[in-house]
Amino acid sequence: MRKEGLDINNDIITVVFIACLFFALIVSFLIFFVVLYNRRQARNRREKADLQSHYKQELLKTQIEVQDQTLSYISREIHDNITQVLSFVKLSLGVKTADPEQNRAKINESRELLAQAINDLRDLSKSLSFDSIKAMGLTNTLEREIKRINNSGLITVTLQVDGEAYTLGEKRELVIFRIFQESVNNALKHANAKQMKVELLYSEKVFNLTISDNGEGFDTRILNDFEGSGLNNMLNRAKLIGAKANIESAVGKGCRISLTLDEVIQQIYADGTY
Amino acid sequence: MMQELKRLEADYIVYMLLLLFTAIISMIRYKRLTPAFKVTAILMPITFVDETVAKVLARTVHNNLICSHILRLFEFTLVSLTYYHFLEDERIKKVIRVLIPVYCFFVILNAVYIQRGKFASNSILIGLIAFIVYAILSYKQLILTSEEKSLTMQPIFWNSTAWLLFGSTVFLKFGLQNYFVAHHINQDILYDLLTYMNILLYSLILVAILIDKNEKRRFGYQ
Repeated sequence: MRKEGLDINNDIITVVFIACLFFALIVSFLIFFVVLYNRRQARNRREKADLQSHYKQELLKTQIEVQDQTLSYISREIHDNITQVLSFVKLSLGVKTADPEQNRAKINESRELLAQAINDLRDLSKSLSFDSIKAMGLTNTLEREIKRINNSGLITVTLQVDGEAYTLGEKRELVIFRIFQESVNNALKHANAKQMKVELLYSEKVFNLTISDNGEGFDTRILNDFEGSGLNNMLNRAKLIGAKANIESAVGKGCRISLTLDEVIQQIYADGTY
Repeated sequence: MMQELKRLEADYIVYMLLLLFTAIISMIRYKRLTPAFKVTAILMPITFVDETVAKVLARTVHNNLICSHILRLFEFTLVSLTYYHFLEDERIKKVIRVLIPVYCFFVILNAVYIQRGKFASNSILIGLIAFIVYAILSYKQLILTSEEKSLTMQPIFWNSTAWLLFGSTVFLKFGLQNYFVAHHINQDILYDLLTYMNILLYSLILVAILIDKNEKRRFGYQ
């Protein structure tokens, strides 16, 4: 009888021990989970910081490229256009004739040329403002740029805007504008395109940009080579602002670049710093 | 009435008051909760009513076991739906969609044929296995998510911890109960343990309901 009582006591001790072990296991599991979770969070924060640093570097690079392109355009305009006009005016005014009528005609012609030079300079001063995207927005900046490109006579660019334009954020718009500039460069330098179409679609949740040209086109397999690094650059930059970009082309079929900003994808970027 | 109240044990009163408080808070915060916790919020008043009816039946007809069978239907369906809303894996969602009707069918079968007039231990154990699996799956999702948020501010963490602790303890309690019955040992400690775990369960669920917030982020390109 006493032995039986001792056995039960031993059993109870075993049961209590197992129960304690069981709770200790669950508590250990919870502690392990909390530690693991915090480590993951710290790693995510580090990765996010790296991503932001990379983003800022790329953005700076984009800004410098846009400025370079603008400065080279201004330099070309001053050299090819304004300097020529002013030189002509200088020469024209330097030659005196006995006929006062002829002199008056020359002066009038020089005045018209000077007025044209003043207008050109005014346009150039607007181009010098690197904050034009911030001030005017993407659509207006593109319109102005397209007008300038069309005036050069090298290529005909048409712009189509569907939906009511809204701001995508200064930095995103800067990157998109740079992608447009790069596309125009490629179309002129490599594809010998004569026509280009730029389409902007502003819908409630999605923004879409499509740039297509009628140039020589290329085999999209070059995107994997160094040769396609400019195009890859566009894709990477699109990715950087949370956009999805796609390049379609074939030899003799022109090129079509599309970029989509999706609200759902943008959620992770929506922290106000972009 | 006062005599009836005096006969109730203090820990049971604490448990019922906590359950009532959780049910009231759930209803007050209902509109502000995420879909997952809206479902859990519905479970709270149902549990309170079920527990109250169970107590009344115990005192009047001395058999309240039907309540344990009925509560299983609501509890499993609503807890599963909570995790259905929270868990993102489509395969798991599919499994939950299948599991709910299958389990409900089993509960009815169990109540009518297998454990008729008995405590619904079969249904409880099977349901709790599912809850423990849900809890572990939700932990996995929390670890894999890239969202920067303190763990203490994640309502699903508290909810899953509640079910994990409660589920595991119930298994332990059932195991010990068989032993205690076999050796004629007083089971009061086990009932107390269950009451304390119930208090812990609803306290943690209350925390989850209090910190849960349906943040409808209006998106705009900044």
